[in-house]
Amino acid sequence: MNTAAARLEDDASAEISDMLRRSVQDFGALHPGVARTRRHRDLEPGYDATIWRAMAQAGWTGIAIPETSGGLDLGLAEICIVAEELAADLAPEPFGPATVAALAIARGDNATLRERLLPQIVSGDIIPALAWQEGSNTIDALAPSVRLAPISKGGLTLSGTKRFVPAAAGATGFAVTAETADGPSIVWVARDAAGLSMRGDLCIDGSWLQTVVFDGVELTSGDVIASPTATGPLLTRLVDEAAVIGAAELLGVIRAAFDRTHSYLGQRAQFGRPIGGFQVLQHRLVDLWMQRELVRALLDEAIEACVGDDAEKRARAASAVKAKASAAALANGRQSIQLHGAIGYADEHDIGLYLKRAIVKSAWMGGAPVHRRRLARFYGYSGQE
Amino acid sequence: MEAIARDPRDMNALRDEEFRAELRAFLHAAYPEHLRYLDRRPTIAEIRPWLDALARKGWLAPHWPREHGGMGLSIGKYLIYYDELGRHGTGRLPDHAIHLLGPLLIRYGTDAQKARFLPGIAEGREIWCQGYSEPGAGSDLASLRTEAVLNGDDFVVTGQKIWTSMAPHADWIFMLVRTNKAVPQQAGISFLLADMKTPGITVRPIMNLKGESEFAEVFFDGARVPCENLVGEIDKGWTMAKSLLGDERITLGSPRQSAYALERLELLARETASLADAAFVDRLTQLRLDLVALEASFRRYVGMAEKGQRLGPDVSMLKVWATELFQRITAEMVELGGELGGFKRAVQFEASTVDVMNQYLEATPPTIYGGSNEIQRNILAKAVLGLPG
Ligand SMILES: Cc1cc2nc3c(=O)[nH]c(=O)nc-3n(C[C@H](O)[C@H](O)[C@H](O)COP(=O)(O)OP(=O)(O)OC[C@H]3O[C@@H](n4cnc5c(N)ncnc54)[C@H](O)[C@@H]3O)c2cc1C
Repeated sequence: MNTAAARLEDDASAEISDMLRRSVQDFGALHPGVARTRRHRDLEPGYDATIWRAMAQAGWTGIAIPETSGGLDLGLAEICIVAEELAADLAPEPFGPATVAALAIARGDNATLRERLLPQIVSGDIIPALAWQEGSNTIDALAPSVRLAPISKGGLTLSGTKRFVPAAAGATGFAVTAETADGPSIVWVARDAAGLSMRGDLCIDGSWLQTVVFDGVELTSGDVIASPTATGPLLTRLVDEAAVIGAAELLGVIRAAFDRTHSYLGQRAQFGRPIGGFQVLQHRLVDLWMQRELVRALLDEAIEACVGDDAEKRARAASAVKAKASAAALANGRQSIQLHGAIGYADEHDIGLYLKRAIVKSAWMGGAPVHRRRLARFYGYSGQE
Repeated sequence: MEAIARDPRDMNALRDEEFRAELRAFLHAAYPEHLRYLDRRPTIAEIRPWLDALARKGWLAPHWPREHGGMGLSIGKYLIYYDELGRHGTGRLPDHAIHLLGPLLIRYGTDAQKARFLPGIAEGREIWCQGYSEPGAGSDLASLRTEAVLNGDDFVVTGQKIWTSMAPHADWIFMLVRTNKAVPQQAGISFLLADMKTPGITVRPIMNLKGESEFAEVFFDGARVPCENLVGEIDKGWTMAKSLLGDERITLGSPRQSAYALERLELLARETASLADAAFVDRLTQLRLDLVALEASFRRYVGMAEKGQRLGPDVSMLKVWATELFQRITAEMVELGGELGGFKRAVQFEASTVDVMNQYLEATPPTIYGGSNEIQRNILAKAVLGLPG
């Protein structure tokens, strides 16, 4: 492609990005996420099902799904825009986790199942959840202990326990990673399958993480989303992309908390002047702003790294942005409270909601220590004597 | 518990270890087991049996002189007292009057005021709240505007207080009010006591980030407060209130909360097998070292106070270091916990539970109240380091 054509293409995609960003912001202005976070917190499923429908109407539930199945067929960059803006609005709906689950299904090698599930995911009739995790503090999805075993010709049985599945109480089905004799695979299990039970743990932002138990759930080979050959590469890529989506959500939270704190420092007066006039607070705010910019730069690079096929480059960039974003979101959340004074510790002020969301989201797809551990290996600091 | 009688002994005569043993025995006998290490502030009803037990033994006001119903403890013994209560995991008492009002009344109150109010505090019969902060007067407390105007034998009080801890449960409020607008701010403030049942006083509870209605707004709409409830001279409230801040700064710098949080972090580390992670062990060691340094500094100031030295503004360093260490420890807990770190309730492991989020949220406001850490640093920069500005 010559440079002029490339520039045109860049401009066009920038325009799509801007439009998408604005449409999510407009949606938030119409349906403020903060109010929903308050209304639905501590209650299952933790979000508003009618708003999920509205998001489906806007096309976001099918953002990464091929057009042939009714989706928008957009890439990671656009997913991150929606994720960031919804998080900035503090929308409690599980856009990030459900999109990751949709990606798992869309990239599986079972065409029949794809054709059945994807249009319903796009329409909002199915809200999928990806159940891959079994222990805390890990991003290793390739060695599940949940087992998928044959019981008869074409018949399979699924046993084991998944943990920390976000937004699962409202999910209509699960993409479950499971070990088979031929390696890990992914299967689809409907929420109401016999032998499936759930127990929720309430998180500080009012959302839930579910423990999902599969006690001999009977399935067929038609329920296998991804065979062992497809699953390895699929999950390796997906974990990195999910970490990047998580970072985009954290950037949204950081941005919104920063904006609120910035404007509060301009309004709140003590000692006869706005507190934003005190140099120490100015420096604090500059530090927060720098963190935000650093996350943004890493995010842009991570999105780009995910486009190509260089697995190490992708993993490095994904861990870099998630490690940075998780740590920055936590620090930013607490500092925002400090700069607000006592009102920041009052539930009726919104700033505390951002801290709480930051706490929960910073752990999703691995917190800073998890990703730093992986980075240490890439940087050559660990795993060698 | 009914058998507890007022303890007539002078506890200062005991050796420190003996005093600790006495406290522990009393705590085991009288503190309700189910209220130990609670992950919230106990309600008045819950803490009442403990409040009463302390009161009957004459142990509710550790640092007041014995003639006023206190234990008359030296500063060293006083800190041991709080240390042991903390180690036992006792819930927070409604203690604003014990810490702040009692000493102020003893110093500045009339005989009639002492006789009327001190017994009610020392016997735990009357619960007090502290009405200093206002919506427009936080760090800049001297700009407070709640006004008290003399009218016959009463002050007529109009205005609003905010962040008043315990106000929904309090019988009385001690407060700073503006009595003179014609003089510099600090010179027009008085110290007033008001019955919360006074017509014209209303309370609106405010929920904190933990979901507890710990503090409140208190509105004064022409509330009539008898002028005998003025403590000290009119317009001298600021000086009186300020004169008591030294004690508060040393207690706010206690290593107790950080020490407890570090224990929880260690427990979490064992439960998650994190001591095998060299990077984590290094961070944990750093936090422990920071605690050791805090404890050493705390002992140093306690030593000075025990020798009768007046503590200077430098004691603020304890509050800054202690409260920020508490935050760093609890931030590490959240990160180490990963997904579990965001659980709203205490995290259940096979052998133990760790209240990660409770510790984390508890650590959030101490850098704000008691003079925010920014204000403390301003004080240290000017009054200790003599920097210009
Ligand atoms: C849990 C809790 C309980 C409380 N209980 C009581 C109570 O019982 N009774 C009572 O009267 N009050 C109580 N308070 C209020 C407390 O005293 C105030 O929060 C405190 O004085 C700070 O005031 P503010 O919250 O208005 O913050 P602000 O003064 O508005 O400060 C906002 C931010 O600006 C910073 N700042 C302000 N001025 C400066 C400066 N000159 N230089 C640099 N930085 C500056 C502050 O440090 C803070 O970070 C309580 C507060 C909390 C959080």
